[in-house]
Amino acid sequence: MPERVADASGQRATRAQPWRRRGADLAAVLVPTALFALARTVDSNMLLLVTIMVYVVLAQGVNVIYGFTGYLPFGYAGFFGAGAYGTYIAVASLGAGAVEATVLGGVVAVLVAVVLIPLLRLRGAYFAIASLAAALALASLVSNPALTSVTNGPYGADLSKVYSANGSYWMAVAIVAVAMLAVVVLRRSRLGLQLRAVRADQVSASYAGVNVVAARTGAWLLSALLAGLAGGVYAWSISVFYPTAVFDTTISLFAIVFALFGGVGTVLGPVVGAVVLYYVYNAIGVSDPQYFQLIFGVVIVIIALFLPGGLAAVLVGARRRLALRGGDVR
Amino acid sequence: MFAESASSAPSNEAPTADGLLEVEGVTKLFGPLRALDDVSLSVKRGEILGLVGPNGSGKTTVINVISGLLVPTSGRVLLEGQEVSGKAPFRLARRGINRTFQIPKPFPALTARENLEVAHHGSALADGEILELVGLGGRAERLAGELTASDQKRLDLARALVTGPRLLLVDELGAGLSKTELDELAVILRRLVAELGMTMVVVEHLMGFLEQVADRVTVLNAGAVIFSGGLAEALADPAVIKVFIGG
Repeated sequence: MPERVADASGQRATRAQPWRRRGADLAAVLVPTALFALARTVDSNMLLLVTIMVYVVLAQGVNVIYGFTGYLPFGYAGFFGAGAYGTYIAVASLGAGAVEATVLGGVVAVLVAVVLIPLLRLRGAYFAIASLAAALALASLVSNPALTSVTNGPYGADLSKVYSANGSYWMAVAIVAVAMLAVVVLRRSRLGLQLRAVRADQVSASYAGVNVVAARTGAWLLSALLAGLAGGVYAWSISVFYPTAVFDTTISLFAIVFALFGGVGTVLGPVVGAVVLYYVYNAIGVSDPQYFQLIFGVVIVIIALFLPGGLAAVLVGARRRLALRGGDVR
Repeated sequence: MFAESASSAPSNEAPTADGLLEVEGVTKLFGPLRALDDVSLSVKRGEILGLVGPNGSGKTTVINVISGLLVPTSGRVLLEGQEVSGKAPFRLARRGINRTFQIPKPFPALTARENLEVAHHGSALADGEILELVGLGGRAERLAGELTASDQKRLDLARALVTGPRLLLVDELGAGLSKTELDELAVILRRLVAELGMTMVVVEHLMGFLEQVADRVTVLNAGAVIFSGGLAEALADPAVIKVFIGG
């Protein structure tokens, strides 16, 4: 949630009072959560709503890893798929309930992230490609017929015995709340400040006493947890799925574009990006995918060229201009 | 916070306090390039050592090795007798070694105050006091990226000070500053030594500035130490004159 306004001389506008900040933080968590909780009274398509919530959580996960560290995870779907299959294994092999299994899906994604921590040694395009390769490797592993007894291999996972449209819907609402809370806390925390410093200049951050590796690892694991929870609740919601569905690279791309469109490094930007763009996708992407791809491509180009800060940056700029026009500075 | 100015003319004699930093036979190779060649130097507690030499002589490489940005190819760096060579900068920052950069590297999207909040806090001084000390008291809420180059240098110094360094490595902080700003900086550095007991290695081209702050100088040329002693003696030393003037 953009909150900083600077005047022409760079002086930051009045700092919000602590109670106002706490109120804004609380609203940032509660308002989206409440809107999603109430959305089913307006739109009866619960699978669509769950899918949008899943993308809100994924966009927030990208926000955590990209917005706070600069790592662009093209293989982000790997954590999503790990969460979905973790949930399936918990139900099918361990006999866990759906809620516990969804949480375990998040834990499985974190474990995968732990294994992939060495990827954080890479930067830029190297990291993006390596994370993509890791996700593809994980998809191959899960769909290996030799693992049929665990993952059911390429034959797909079936969670229909725990299927509950209502249960998965409320679980998705709860996970949205967790994701919003995580980003709000991270943004306000010293770790969040340190991650922003690391993103700006890791050498300077290190001389400031910041353990760069530990800070990045924290963001990486949190990001994986969010994707794993999203994958788990998505698996519960659709109940039958194949490896190709939950390890699809499109999931990563959507999450990244949604986050960038709304504005990474902010609290509400990824939520707005996910809701707006997924509704656009749902409106035309299914019936006329070629037009959607065209629109998606144009959106990506516009973001890259003119709006690197996303919609949030536009709002901040507008606030700054208003503040200047009204002399409301300092 | 601080007593009256401590910018009295420094002595050319090394202080008698114990040694804080020892650089022993450090060589640094970049492929075939020998950036440092068996460099040894020592800095005593409470001393300001000036590090001078022509461009490319290895001054910043020495700073980079001491501060952990580079691992020496051979040789070692000791802080209070304990080897610290090759330790990560964040560990050294927490152990009392910090530095400024020739080109300041603030976090541009954070305010000056937030730039200090990021840092590990090892100083006895509060952030506000440190900002006042370096002359940024009135600009604490400004975004670092929108500060002037001179103020970004002050912020770079402030961020290093927050960590409470016992050894501060100052890399050409005076470059590009006006005479007045240089005089202010000299006062600040001398105060840090006199009142906080800090020890410093100051890389600088400006001899006038070094005259104000340095107790001793070490002169480097082509990665090797060619002189160590008082600044006046250095300026009269034939080898030093040859390096700087030629002939």
